[in-house]
Amino acid sequence: MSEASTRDVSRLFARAAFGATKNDLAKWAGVEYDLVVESLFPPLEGRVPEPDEARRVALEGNQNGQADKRLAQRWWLDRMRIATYPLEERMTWFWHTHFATAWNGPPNVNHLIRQNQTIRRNALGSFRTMVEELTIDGAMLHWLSGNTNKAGAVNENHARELFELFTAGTIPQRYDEDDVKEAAKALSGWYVLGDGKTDFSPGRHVQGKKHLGDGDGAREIGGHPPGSAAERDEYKEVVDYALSLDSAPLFVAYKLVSSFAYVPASTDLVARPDVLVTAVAAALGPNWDIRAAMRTLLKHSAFRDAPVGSYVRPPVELTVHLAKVMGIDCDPEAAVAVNPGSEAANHPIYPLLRMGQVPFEPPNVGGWPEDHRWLSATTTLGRYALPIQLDLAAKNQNAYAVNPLPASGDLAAWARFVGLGELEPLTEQQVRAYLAAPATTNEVVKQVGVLALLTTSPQWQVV
Amino acid sequence: MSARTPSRRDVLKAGAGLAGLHVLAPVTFRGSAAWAAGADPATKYRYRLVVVNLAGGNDGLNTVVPSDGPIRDVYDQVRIKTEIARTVLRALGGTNGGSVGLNPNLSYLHKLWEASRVAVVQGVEYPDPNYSHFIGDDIWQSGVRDRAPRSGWLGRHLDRVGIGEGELRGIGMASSLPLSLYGDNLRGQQVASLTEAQFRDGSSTAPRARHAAFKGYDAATGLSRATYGDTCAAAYDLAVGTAGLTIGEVGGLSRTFLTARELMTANLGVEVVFISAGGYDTHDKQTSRHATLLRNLDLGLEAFWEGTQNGTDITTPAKTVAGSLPGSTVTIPGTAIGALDPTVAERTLVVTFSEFGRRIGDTDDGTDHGAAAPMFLVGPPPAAAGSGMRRLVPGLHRDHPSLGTVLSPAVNLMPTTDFRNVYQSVLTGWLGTAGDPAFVGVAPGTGVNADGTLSGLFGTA
Repeated sequence: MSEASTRDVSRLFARAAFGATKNDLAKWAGVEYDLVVESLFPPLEGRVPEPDEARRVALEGNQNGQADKRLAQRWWLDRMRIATYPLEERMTWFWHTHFATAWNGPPNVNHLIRQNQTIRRNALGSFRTMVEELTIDGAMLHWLSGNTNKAGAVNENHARELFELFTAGTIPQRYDEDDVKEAAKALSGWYVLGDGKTDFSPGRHVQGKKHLGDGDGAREIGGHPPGSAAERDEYKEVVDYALSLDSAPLFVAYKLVSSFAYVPASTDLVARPDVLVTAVAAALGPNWDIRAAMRTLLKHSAFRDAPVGSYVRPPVELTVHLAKVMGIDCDPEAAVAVNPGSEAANHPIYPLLRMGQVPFEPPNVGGWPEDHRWLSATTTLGRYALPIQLDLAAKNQNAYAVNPLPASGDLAAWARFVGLGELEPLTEQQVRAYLAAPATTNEVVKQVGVLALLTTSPQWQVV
Repeated sequence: MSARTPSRRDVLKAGAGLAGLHVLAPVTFRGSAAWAAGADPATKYRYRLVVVNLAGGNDGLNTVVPSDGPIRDVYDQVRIKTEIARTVLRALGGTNGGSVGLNPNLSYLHKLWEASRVAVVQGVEYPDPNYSHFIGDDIWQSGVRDRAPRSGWLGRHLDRVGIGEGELRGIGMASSLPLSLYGDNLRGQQVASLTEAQFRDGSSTAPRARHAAFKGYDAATGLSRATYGDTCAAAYDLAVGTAGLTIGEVGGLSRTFLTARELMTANLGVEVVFISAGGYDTHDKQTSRHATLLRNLDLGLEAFWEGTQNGTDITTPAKTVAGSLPGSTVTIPGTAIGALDPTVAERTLVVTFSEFGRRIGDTDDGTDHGAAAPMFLVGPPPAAAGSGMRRLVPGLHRDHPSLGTVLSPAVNLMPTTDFRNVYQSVLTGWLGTAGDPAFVGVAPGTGVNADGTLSGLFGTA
């Protein structure tokens, strides 16, 4: 138990709440650290509705395909920026990177928005429930060929990733190729309806018993009467088996730790445990309680005091943070109308494309790279481009009138403005070098330069 | 020669205006090269390697397809919806008492085959293959079977040969730097595209001052902060070193191939290139998807070697300039980019691989993950005898993997060749090094030498 320093607040928000604003720093520095953590969780009762819920509902009715995907992406980025409960939204984002689903063939905007809401509803709830619901989710069934997995043409795509990427993991691997084949049969029969909802067809389901595992852990599932409710629920038996493997809670905890604190070095979490992974896995417990796991993670000293440089902030998190401190609407319908010729300059999709991360468009089912794999030459040029691009958006939206940038030379104000609190020597040195360059005399240009250099500093990018 | 090859001076010029600003930043090069100055011109005579990753698991059985004999009989039995008729295949030759033909979408590749420029190594994988995309990819890109490999086979090559001043010796054309190009000490650089390789916020003095200050972040320390700092400097150098290069008017994978070609012909010392070509995970809609994928690969190879698409010239972008009358403009049409620079072409090898093949039998119009697929090696036209140039031995290499029998088809192809033997052959026979110590002694057997190379894949003209 101790008070949170400005640096604690800055770092906690950078990892768990899309970054701090100057108001967050002022509000929480000096408060008991655990209380700051608690403040990030949504209440179990008495929730306030999200301000943009009508927009989300409209998108859930959007039957258009690829053509409207930018609308969905822009809306979600803005939801991340303005969410009433930023940790819940941060968790929704995390689970999207875990259950990475993209457009694949017919799914429309509504499929992904529906999946997105399923994730949000469970984001701090039961991991088991979330996996069950996503296993028969429309966007997921399209994405992993579950829609075409049927008797006579069993398709292993979904079953394999359910084990490998969503539940049991491979560190260590406790399932084998036979389990993938049997689970694929058990998952067969689900298909997607036109509106994105899904249904089960007994005629498409592979009947009979399926055998999972060997030895002590072996299990027989399925074999239910055709057309029975038990047959329809057979997918839950697969999920239950996957979650019964000892690697599963460790794998889920590993993913949480990797996405909030650091990438654990261990390649066998049973034989060579990682202290934070073990603690988070234990907190998940038999109910797969994500809220309890996140409480443990965020309050743990291995999280709070993780060595500097442990967490490379992914592009989406940088973008939302910057939009938040600059006061930029990521989903600016009005701005488009004001300045229709520069739509691209009005929202952050283009810099995200350059950085290599756009929501709802993971490169593959494994999601986006993690850790230093993010950092390569041209994606780093994308990181450089982000504040420059958002400066155009801010000017188009007249955001600086509401939320003015500090004077170029007032580095203490800048440190608060970008949510850092204080500047490290290297950051300050480079900003001062820039300000001293004879080329830069125009105050507005100087301000943009300071903003760009602060938000591309190692201190801001890697926490 | 219409393909523009920037001279050392051109590249120097691109960076010249920045020289004076370096004083703003504490420049600490940590292995990142000063590309702005260009590489040693002698690097033009390097042998080069382009590795193309058919990511997702390419259906080898529908790429090099059984066309006759017992292997075709089983193929007919197991491939229902995804079957390719033998009449449309392009003949490659005899194997396993039957014969194989090339997928008809690889028509340019087949022309090269007829010109004795293609080697097909059949049945490539490794023992007890892993069918996870991610683990399979790690194994193929690292060449080792560690659970969490730290380095790739091309990165370790860079470690052994070093990266000279001004050299961009290894480049990865992918959304992030591929594992292949991570060495234990050195690494290649990722280039998503030439447009992405620029700062794009202007070139007046203020943005240049920003760029210089940004580069100065390479002094950062502490875990991934140090990596980020290195990358700031690398990004800066890449932007300066590639300013002024242009790509012919073509999109898709062909554009990626042309970008690789442009970087290879610029004076940047490029030796190894990794191109990621994804989408091969054809669990469904395989018939149309796989045809398109192979067609795009074929067009990419054609763009790379010939500067054409379906035989039509690729041109540089048209330019609009001020005309002689006030306010008027004149559009200058682009010019054909032409074939790959002959000096480079004579020393370039393209190699394809995939993290695994696909199952023998199809599942409706799709296939699940399976073992073994062919690798293509595409080299220059045969060099004059006695020239001493390194030479790819064209033709079919190794046996086609068995499919079992008509009465009892196998579930999976049985690999006939270990991919590390192909890697080692490329490292020694083409790049002219002593090879990777990790590959010595791999998969001993008929046709495999003690140093881990395959017999008869490379030679000297």
